[in-house]
Amino acid sequence: MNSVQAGDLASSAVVAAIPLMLAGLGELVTEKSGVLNLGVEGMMLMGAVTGYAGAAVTGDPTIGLALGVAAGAAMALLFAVLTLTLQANQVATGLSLTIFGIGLSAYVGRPFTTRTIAGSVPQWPIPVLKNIPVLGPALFSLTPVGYASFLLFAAVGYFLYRTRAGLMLRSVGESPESAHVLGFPVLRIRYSATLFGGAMAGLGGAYYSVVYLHLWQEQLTAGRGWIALALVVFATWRPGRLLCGALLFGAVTASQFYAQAVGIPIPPPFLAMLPYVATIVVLAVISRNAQVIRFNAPASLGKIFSH
Amino acid sequence: MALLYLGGEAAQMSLQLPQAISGVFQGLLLFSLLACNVFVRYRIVWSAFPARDQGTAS
Repeated sequence: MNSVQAGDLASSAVVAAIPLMLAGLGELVTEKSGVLNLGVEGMMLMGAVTGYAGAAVTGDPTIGLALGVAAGAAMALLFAVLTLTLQANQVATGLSLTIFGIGLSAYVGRPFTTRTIAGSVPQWPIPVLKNIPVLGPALFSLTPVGYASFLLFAAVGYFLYRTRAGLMLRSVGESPESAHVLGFPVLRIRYSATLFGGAMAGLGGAYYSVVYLHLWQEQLTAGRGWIALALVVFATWRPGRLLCGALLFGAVTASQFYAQAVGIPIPPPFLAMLPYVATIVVLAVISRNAQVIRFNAPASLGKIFSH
Repeated sequence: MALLYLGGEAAQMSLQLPQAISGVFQGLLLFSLLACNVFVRYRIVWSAFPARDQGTAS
């Protein structure tokens, strides 16, 4: 493998990782506030179909991405009203959100399975840095959304661990009762975190359909929402580790195309299975030590708060 | 839920509905089921005056 091939492989790994990065980061913030939203898959699909429809109708991918963000946030708002205001069970509501999202996106998206998008999102190579052998094509020739997702990681990391608002959000996730007694608006913080998670999942889905694949079909995201959820556990709720995990899964996805292109005699269905197998293996390894999960998980994750 | 799956399939065949509709319907039904949980936790109290005294309405 020469450096050009390695660059291609690294580049496709990063591009494949971006939807997981976006959706995973949003879910991380949501879970840090103590809300377990299992509807990432549904929110991603709604973001994907709305984004694709918007891009196909207006011809402008940017409008499509913005609509995808709005659709993801709208789904998260539905979830937040049910679990925070009406205090429904978060696990059950999240699963219903996924069922609902899969059905609704398939129904709404039927006219768009045959449509194509006119415009495409341009790449913005950074002048000097793009010439670095492997890192150049991988990290410095991305689309604006790609750069934005890396910047968002830095921003969320800074927000969660270096600002007062981030500390408030984490305290709400650990002990909403104490936060409430301190006078923090628990429900408002949880609403904001849930909406942020939905918006990011919507952006991830819209990126997947509008920028990455340029097509829409039923269940387009193929379980990427679930992988994003698993990545948050895999990362033990730390943004930096989430970034590494997403890139790892991107690499597994990219290696499947690479193996096909080079002609390694492994059946394609087996390779397509790899990201999901990797998810199970990683989670099994992590869950072997239950204390790691218990020490890192937000203490009141998935619990209903009523005052 | 099992009945909903069967009913969804029957509705698709007899009414020529698209397959996705049954998912939408299941989702909506689950949402309303979960939302109704609030009535298990709380009782609605109709009060003639806005609850200015000690929290009759919760």
